[in-house]
Amino acid sequence: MYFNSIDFAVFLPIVFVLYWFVLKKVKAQNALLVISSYVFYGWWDWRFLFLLFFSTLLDFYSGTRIYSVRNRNARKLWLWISIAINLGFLAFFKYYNFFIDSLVDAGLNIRESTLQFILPVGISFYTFHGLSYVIDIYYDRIKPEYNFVTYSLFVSFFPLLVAGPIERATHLLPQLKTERKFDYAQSVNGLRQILWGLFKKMVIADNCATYANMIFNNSDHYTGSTLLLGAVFFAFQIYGDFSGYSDIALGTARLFGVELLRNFAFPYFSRDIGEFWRRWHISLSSWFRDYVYVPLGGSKGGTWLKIRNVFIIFLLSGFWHGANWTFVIWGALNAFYYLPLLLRNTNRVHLDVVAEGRLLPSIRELLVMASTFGITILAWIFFRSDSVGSAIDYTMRMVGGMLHLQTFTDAYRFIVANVRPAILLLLLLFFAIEWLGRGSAYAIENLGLSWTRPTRWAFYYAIIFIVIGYSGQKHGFIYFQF
Amino acid sequence: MKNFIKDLLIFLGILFAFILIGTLMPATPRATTSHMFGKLKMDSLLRNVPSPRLILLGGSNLSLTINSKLLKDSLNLNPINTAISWNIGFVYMFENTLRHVKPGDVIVASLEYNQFSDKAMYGGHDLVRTIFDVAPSDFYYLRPQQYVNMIPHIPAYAISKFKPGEYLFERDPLEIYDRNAINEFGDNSKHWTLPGRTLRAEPALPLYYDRLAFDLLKEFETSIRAKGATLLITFPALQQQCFEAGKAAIKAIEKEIADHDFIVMGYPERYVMPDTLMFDTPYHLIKQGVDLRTELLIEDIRTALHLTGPTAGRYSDGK
Repeated sequence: MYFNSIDFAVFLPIVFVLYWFVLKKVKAQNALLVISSYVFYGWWDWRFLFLLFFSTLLDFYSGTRIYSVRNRNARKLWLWISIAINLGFLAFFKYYNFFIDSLVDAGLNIRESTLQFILPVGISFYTFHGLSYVIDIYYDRIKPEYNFVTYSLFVSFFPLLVAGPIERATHLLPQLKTERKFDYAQSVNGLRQILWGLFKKMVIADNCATYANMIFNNSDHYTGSTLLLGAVFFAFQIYGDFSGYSDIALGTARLFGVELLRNFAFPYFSRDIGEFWRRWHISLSSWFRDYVYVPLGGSKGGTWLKIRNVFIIFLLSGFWHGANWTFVIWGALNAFYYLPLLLRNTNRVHLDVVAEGRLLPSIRELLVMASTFGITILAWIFFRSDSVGSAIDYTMRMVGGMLHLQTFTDAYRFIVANVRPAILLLLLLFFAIEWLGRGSAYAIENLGLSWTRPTRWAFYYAIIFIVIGYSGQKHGFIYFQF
Repeated sequence: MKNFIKDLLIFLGILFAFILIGTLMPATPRATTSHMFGKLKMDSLLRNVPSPRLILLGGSNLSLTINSKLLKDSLNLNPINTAISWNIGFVYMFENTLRHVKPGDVIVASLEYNQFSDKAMYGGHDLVRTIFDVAPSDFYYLRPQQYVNMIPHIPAYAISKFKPGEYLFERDPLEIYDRNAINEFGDNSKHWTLPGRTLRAEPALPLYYDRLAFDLLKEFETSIRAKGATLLITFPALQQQCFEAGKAAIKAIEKEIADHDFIVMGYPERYVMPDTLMFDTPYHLIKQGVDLRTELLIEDIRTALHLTGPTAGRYSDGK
């Protein structure tokens, strides 16, 4: 079930009413949310439910075993059983076809004897949920959850089930075990975040997707500046798509009295790539930091160890996104971007909000933000392309074409011929609102809170009208495939 | 909690009122110039064109890919191209056409493969525009599933009435999807001067089809026969890449059509078009493709009419 579907618009109020009006006790509410989550997930394909259930059962049992056995080797054995089975399933469903294709590309004639599998939606997300749980128990950061319903809810809570945020047991489980009380302000805040998420997804991402697809799918027809424009459109598409999804997820969870981890913090206003990665897909970046980077030694060892660790997490992050070399190269590019910061020990310079307390950034801030955005979209070309070859071709043609300054008029012509003026205006409006709200949890978190109710409602109606009237052609959420 | 629910209901009530007002407002100036209003011309053709008639039924794959003048000259039939958009759904297309069918009419249906996917034959946003803007009286004759299919598209339709662009920019800049682009036979011909471009196979064809679609198609064939007319099924012209991408589903659809014992002309591969003959979507051909597709259709109609049913041989010698 997609967040931006009629099905979900019917599903959510039903669950909400049952949750707050019919069921008053935590256990009953949790059971309802588990059932609802399975309905939500099974809406795609009921067969996926078995895998979700098995994954839940495995980590639930492993967690209790790791905690209960005293012998250190036995604990380690249970941890590795859990990790191996979880990653085994992930590898099987997500990377099997990739490995077979790679072997075929390498010249092995094995195609006839292989099978093709459908990738279960969100498998990377709930696998990482489960892994963090058993690893945290192993390192004595948490105690296991003995209530299977509560644990099931931790894994399958429908707002975060298919595309995160990737939650931690230490953060989410305590909320699921305590009584939730309805809070008017919290619920209104949730609805506002859902509204903004829908705007980002349906207006910004879906419209940009149309233009980005137009350029990427017919890149042979376009010159350098138009190809650059295509990459910029994709940058907006993926941001609107994934951060919009995260906003809807966080807002929806808030309607049920649950606060999820923040996943985006205005990443395109970053002043270097280190800041970008603290603001983009935060729950995944921090997952890799805590469960891979730090155990590998983090940045405590020598220079080569640090470089190795950085490459490992960025390459893993790329590979996590998908079974394609394009994602691996995307990860590698980001590692290369990050290295100078790491080696100069300047990767944690920008921990504040850019131009905090000021309306406009300084020229220097503007330039560093633009250059960070520039190298980011260069990496996005690999993320978006079907193959490494087409990404390299796209990049070469883009850079080569840009050297001929006269091609800059081509991008302008593309905009005039294809981009609706209303969409351009909405992109500018979106950019302005995001900039003005960059100090908040999401752009409109505090916007209009001091206005009178009619003005505030008029603002909501305006956003709803824009979402309905100017949404682009419907595209699925990009991160559902991961 | 009660306050929250109360406020939410008031908020949604006002929103609903806006949508209702928008829905009931007359069609915008821009909407009245769109090709959806071509339906009025097609209905007039269905009423007034004399026999012997060849009625073409489908979506934009027919509207934008047929040269009816060639059909007329080659088959000595009077063509009426009723096609506008696949998104109207073939249920509405057939029911609208059935009102005007005369004995001896030959109806050629060329349905986009998308129409066989989940409930798509009952229509979508273009059915909403047809019903509310062009033919409001048809609202009362729809099937329950058509109402269901329309519901998700009504808010966007209603909100469109409040969009400034609908009043400021009255025409599609290229005037391809414009009511004036439709010629005297019902073909959309404004794009015939456009150059071709290779498109990527997007959007991909759906992987699944709905068996109900074939039963409905059979139901319409029975009604057409009862009126003394003949239904011939053919396959849409489709870009090579797109065909390859959706081949499994297309072949499954072809098999279902064969299993339901229709009079079928040709096969899907016959209408696969080179990638260079499209101008905006994998179903929309430039003039070179239009003529190619029409020639193929002429051959198939000749063969089919020579071989089948009460009208067998009637038009095969061109008389």
